[in-house]
Amino acid sequence: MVRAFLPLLVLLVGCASAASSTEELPVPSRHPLDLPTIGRLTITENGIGSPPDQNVPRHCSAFQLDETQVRRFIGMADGIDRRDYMHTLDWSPCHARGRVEFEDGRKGTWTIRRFQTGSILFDDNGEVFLFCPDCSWKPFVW
Amino acid sequence: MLQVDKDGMVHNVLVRRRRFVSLERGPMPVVNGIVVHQTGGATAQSTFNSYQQSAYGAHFLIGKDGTIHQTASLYRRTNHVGLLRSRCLARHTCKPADLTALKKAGPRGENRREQRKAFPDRFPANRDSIGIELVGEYNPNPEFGKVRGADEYVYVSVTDAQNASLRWLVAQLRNTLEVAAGEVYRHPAVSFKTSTEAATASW
Repeated sequence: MVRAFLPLLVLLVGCASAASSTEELPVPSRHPLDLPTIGRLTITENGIGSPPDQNVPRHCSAFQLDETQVRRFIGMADGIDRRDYMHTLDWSPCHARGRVEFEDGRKGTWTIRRFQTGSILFDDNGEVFLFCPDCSWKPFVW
Repeated sequence: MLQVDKDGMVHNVLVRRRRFVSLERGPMPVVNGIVVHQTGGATAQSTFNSYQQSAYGAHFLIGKDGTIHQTASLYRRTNHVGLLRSRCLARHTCKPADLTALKKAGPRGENRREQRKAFPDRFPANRDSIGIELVGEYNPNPEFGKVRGADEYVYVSVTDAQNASLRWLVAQLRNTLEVAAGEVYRHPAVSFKTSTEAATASW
């Protein structure tokens, strides 16, 4: 009798696990970004993927940002820590990149990725990591 | 073949048992695959510290010196995979309806579709895979700013001692749990992760 019900039990356990596995995802800790007003901003790379990525091509060419979208993303994003950017959150090789200068004179390289994450690596070696789950507009996907 | 006790813990001189019950979720009656990760931290202790207050981790941890720690029961599921990539997309076997849906789907939508599929139509997931973490941090990428598209950070190379231990452990787990050779993956192959994670792992 037990043997007869075993496949059903395995199926039920599998279904329950499948449902919960989609719910149990780590949530990054977010904090407000206290960045000065953006002054000059340029885009140097747009719609490209990371060179060593061996995974399925994700049509990175479709991920094109204009200057207004970049300013909007940085303005709306929260700060996250480096580990959440690199390890916890979903990673897209598709990104845009450029230079930014803030009104306090700090300069750096910004990167914004298709899955609503990004970074600013400052020339003085400072860094901030960005996450904007509210940036739900094309060409972002989530 | 590994000697495994009733709690799913391995008894072997090469495996140190350091179980974190907090990592363990529901039962895992079937194992269809093995997923190899890198921790993002420089020491085994930093991972142990995070495991004490986290529900996210894998079944094994291999230190830079090759020491193998078992951190969760082989009979329990752990949260180590994250959102599943589409297997048919990776294998170029998607039906037209799949391709249409995947074009519109983000990572969450793609994961939802995959989670509804039975193995082997999807990659091994949390519910049917063993996770192996290799201790390894990420460092600033020397190519950033010089090579177009280069990522900001890259994971360190896996050590020779880690790869030797990984080869032994994967062979033992495959034999014990009857996992096919082709069902052992680097984390970025099955989920949306940085491509350099575990890129230098070999088994």
